[in-house]
Amino acid sequence: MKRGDKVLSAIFLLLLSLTILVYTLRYCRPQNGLSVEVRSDGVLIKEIELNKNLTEEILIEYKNGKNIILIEEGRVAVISADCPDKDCIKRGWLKYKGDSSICLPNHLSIRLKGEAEVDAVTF
Amino acid sequence: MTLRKIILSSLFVSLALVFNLIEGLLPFPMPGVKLGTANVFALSALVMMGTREAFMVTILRVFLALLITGNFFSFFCAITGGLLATVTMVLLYTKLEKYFSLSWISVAGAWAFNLGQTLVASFVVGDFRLMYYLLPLLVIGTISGWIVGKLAETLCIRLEHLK
Amino acid sequence: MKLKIKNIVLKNYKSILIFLVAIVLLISWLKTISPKSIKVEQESYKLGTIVRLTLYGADREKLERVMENAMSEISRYEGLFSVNIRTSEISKINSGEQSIVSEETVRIITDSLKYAEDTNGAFDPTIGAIVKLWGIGTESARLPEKIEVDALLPYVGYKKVCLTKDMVIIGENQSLDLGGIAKGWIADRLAENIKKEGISSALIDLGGNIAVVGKAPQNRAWRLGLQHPKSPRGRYFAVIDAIDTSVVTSGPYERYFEENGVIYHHIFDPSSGHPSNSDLESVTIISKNSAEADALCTAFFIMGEKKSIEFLNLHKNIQAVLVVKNCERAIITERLKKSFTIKDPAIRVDVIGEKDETR
Repeated sequence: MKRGDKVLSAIFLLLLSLTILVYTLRYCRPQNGLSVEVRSDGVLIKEIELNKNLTEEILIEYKNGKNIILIEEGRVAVISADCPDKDCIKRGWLKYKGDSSICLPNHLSIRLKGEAEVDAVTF
Repeated sequence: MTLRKIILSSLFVSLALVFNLIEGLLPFPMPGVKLGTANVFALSALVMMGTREAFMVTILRVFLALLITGNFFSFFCAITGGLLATVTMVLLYTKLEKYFSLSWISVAGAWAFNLGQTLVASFVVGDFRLMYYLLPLLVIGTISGWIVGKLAETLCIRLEHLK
Repeated sequence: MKLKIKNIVLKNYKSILIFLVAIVLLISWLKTISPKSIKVEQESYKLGTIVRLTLYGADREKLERVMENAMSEISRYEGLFSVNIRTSEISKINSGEQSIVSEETVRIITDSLKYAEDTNGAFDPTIGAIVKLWGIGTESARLPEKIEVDALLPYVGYKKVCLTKDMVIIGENQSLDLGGIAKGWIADRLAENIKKEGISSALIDLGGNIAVVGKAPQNRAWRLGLQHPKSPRGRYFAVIDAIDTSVVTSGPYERYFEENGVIYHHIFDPSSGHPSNSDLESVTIISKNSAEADALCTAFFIMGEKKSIEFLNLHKNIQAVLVVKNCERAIITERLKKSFTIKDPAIRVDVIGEKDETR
């Protein structure tokens, strides 16, 4: 190994440990009260709260296209998309807070959010 | 430009394109993750011919992929990432060659690619929390970048006689 | 010299690496053990609804003591003001058994009369007989005959209530019901006490009637969802960032019964004795004074969109969100613009004074 290689491999090890750290911290958190947030061009177009018993197929229509998402057992997946690369479908199930699926061609992002969204609801 | 260079670089462009398209058919666990085998040819072009050819292979390959797939978003990600990666690799290879071996130059290129790709994706989607993906992308990019570098090294040795 | 440093760095890259990783681990560890604010939360069924108090602070014992006090205060107030408790002071005033009452009862009635005056009787604490007749929210809920309602209507009228320093005298056959103000008023007293105890961060949720003390932990504003009028309980159509204030919402979806396909809800119009036939789906008031917020959101619902907006134009210190019929539109006051975030994209947001909100 040349000198520069060593520097780069050191950076790599640092990145690796950082990634492991970030992801373990993330997955150790309790998972409840998730909600799924759908944004087109960064603008919120739909927000659905998840719970274990909710099973729903939802058609999302927006200015760039159409996607169908499936909600089941507290998780979400995109099951149909009218974009060319279908990356969002390949992404599979979103289960944890912060998980997201992005349909780049359609400027769509689907993200799971944790329960800290509001402190209370007034009714 | 000599005839030999013209033939070699057009061969590299077409091979890069084919590998690029085949990769697109393979399933990967995360969006944006790719082996980046097309980069083998950009890197080999850099080693065997020079800076100009490396850029040529990258830019032509990305444009041709756009013509075939029609996917503008992959194109924007790839052109930004690809140019950043090529600039990085060219600088390291031409200026700091004695400090870096080819596979690690390739790794640095992969990092630059990941950075460009995530920036463009965040910008397009309008959600900069996407940058969160950069970390795992960089880790995977290191591994695939290193493999790509080794492949390019092998290719260059095998094609030594064509130089 | 420069080269030397470079060499040292390169020779010792392994130890430098270990050092860096150690720092990262140390920081993340420190973050988990650093003195966080302790949270004490308690939920309980009081005031005919679910009451939830959340207190934040550094001293657990103190938080628990304050919590216990607050919960027993709620029960004490309920024992004074509830029409469902026969021995409450309000019940005794209504039955004519007693007219000398505690200072607190005088205070809440004084405040009630003030808001009744302000809203021209849209909010009226003497609606008791009508509320009892319909019985909405109880097992004896029923649709009364028109004659029954008309017979009781003359006894509704806050102007007949007389007050002295320790006495409440109501008109003949009148009946007080503080359901439209009590939760807010109690929330104000709780917030005062909590502040007096030196607790700087607390959330008081008395069945959706919310008052917040200070800021939420991590120095952010409290985020309060506003119930979506057409969705199940807990789904909100908008979020309000609140610091040291109170947010109260009223809507017909809260309590109602259905007969022959018609929905009869619990917000009565004092002028008709029937559930208010409002052109609003819900009203949210944001005010430092929770009693005011509570009374006004009931009144606004009865007054309807046009009169509420007129009221808001006259009283610029009151912030409000009005959702108009069919949930197509939410009207908000101008000062609310910064702290209001719409979550249901189907609802258009108009700001009073910016567009032709009165149509």
